[in-house]
Amino acid sequence: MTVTRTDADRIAGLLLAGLGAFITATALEWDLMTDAGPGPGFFPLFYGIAMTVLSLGLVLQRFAGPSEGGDAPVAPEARRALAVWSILVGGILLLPVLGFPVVLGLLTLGVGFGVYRRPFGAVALAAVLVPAGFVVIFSLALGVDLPTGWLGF
Amino acid sequence: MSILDGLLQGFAVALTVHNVAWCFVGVFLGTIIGILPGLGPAATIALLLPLTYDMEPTGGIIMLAGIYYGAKYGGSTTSILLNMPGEASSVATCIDGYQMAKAGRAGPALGIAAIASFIAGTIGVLALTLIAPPIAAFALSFSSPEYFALMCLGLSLVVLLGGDSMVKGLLSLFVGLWLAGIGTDIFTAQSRFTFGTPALLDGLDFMVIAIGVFAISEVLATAEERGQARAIPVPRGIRNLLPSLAELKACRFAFLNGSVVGFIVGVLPGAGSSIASFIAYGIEKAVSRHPERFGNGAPEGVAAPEGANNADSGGALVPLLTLGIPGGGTTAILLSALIVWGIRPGPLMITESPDVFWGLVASMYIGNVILLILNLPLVPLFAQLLRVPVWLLLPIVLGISLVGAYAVSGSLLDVWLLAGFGLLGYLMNRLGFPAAPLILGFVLGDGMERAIRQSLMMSQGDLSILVSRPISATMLGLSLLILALPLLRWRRTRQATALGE
Repeated sequence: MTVTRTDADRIAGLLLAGLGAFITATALEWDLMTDAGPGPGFFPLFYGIAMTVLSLGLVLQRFAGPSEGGDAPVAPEARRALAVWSILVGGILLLPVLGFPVVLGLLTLGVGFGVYRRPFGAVALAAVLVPAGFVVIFSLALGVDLPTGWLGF
Repeated sequence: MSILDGLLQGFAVALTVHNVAWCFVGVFLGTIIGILPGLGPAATIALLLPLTYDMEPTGGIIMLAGIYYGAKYGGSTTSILLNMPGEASSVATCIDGYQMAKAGRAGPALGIAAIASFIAGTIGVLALTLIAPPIAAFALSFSSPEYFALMCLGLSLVVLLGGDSMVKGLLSLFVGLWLAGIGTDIFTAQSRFTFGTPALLDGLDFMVIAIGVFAISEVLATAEERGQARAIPVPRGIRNLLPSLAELKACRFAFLNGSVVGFIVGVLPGAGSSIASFIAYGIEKAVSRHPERFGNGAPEGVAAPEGANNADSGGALVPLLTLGIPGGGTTAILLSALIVWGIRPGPLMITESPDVFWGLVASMYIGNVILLILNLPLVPLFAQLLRVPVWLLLPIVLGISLVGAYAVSGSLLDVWLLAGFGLLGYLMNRLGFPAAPLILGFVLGDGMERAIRQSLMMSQGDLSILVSRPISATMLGLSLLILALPLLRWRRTRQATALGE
């Protein structure tokens, strides 16, 4: 199924309207005004209501007519971007197990070989040199703590 | 302290060996990231900020500001040689810069860009030097209602100028305000929107949001593009980079036009240097005796936008340093950097932290000279950076992002939030929701809530305090007018359509 720009605006509007309603409902549970002045619910109530109204306005606007992008599909080229993001998420999942240098090596392999289809030899070399450079610059030279894994690095 | 005394004190601070070195590091890094497409100054400053927490504030802000204005010098190189802007502010430079390069005049085009950047950048800093102290003195009379109104005015301008849709800009702003509200209430210690997670009681860290929304989303946007463009080679030798006397003469008005337009637009929150460069380009073309040359390699078409986007840096620092109101994403990060170092930008900054304020201003004069030296003889060397393959650049940026987010608190939660905000920033970009209002909403959210609540404490809950004081009433009136502008425009269009029919 192709998601058009108009569909995307409707979905985003509905999600934001939900968030606005949540903020408003939560803010109403807190004090709005106290003897000392406005309470913790005062400010969120204002932007919660405004967010709900504007988001619903956006949704209604998109049902009344198409958005500027109209029926153009939303970014068919987004697949590569989402692939890179998935590789990043996979890397974060593995961080507590494998540690930063190994994960960065895998990220380099994933992006270079998996997404960009570069020759494996060159990518593998980069997957060794890039993490090594990070360890030298950040860990040894700057003294920055890098996430460590089960193996202790 | 007079302006001249302040400036002399600033040069005494900026000319120490350490601070000259930090200035050099900043403008050097700025030039590099300006040249590299897919990595902007906001992302770079966000990435480096966690590493500067232990730095001395003057040196730190001199370096980060150097990245900010240095990137604008570097951005022109990519525009001229690749027809692809290294920065958003260099889009207008592509139009004539690339045509000059195609006609074998790449060297002079780069030379004109560097000279225009130097002249306008210096004029912008001079204007900042002269205008900032009186504005700060005026703002000393501000109290909570005026601050609340000022933030409303700044944010409404950001929403108006930040993107195509004001509704989307406002929604982005409200999400930023909500994110700022996560944590413990500043007045009552009530926990808000923490979802029972103790780690969220201290609130979200700005750096995680900034790195996610700027750096990770830029990586994802860059990953969309296939292949790598080929750059036009740069002739070696300084003589081949210098424009002819006729070209310099043709550009003399463009240098001034770019300086004035860039500075004025820079002062306005939300306008940004890309708007400044297009306005300067438009004016230059409108007043030219030969407008037909524009788009075909006119040197003025390079000088005006390049001057404007560099003078904009000086302008953008005026509201940041004198009022504590950042006008865009990058200046919002500079604001948070100053706060981390214990310095509160605003009307009292000049008197409370003169070394930081005047040191920064003086360093910008020095930085512009360093940039001119870097960008004339060394531009062929910098142009080699365009050969760095994207597949290698992306994991490096991802790695720095992970290190930056982890350095905030040593917690993997921040790293997960980084991935989440990266995706959010990318989707916002794809769907036309501007990121700047979200970032500014997050940065100003706490201050805005504090100002409105303190105002209502002062008036015992009476909202009329906001309109009974002349300065706050004027600023709130202007904010309402700005927010009503699209409605008025929509009504006029409908009337015109009805009349046409």
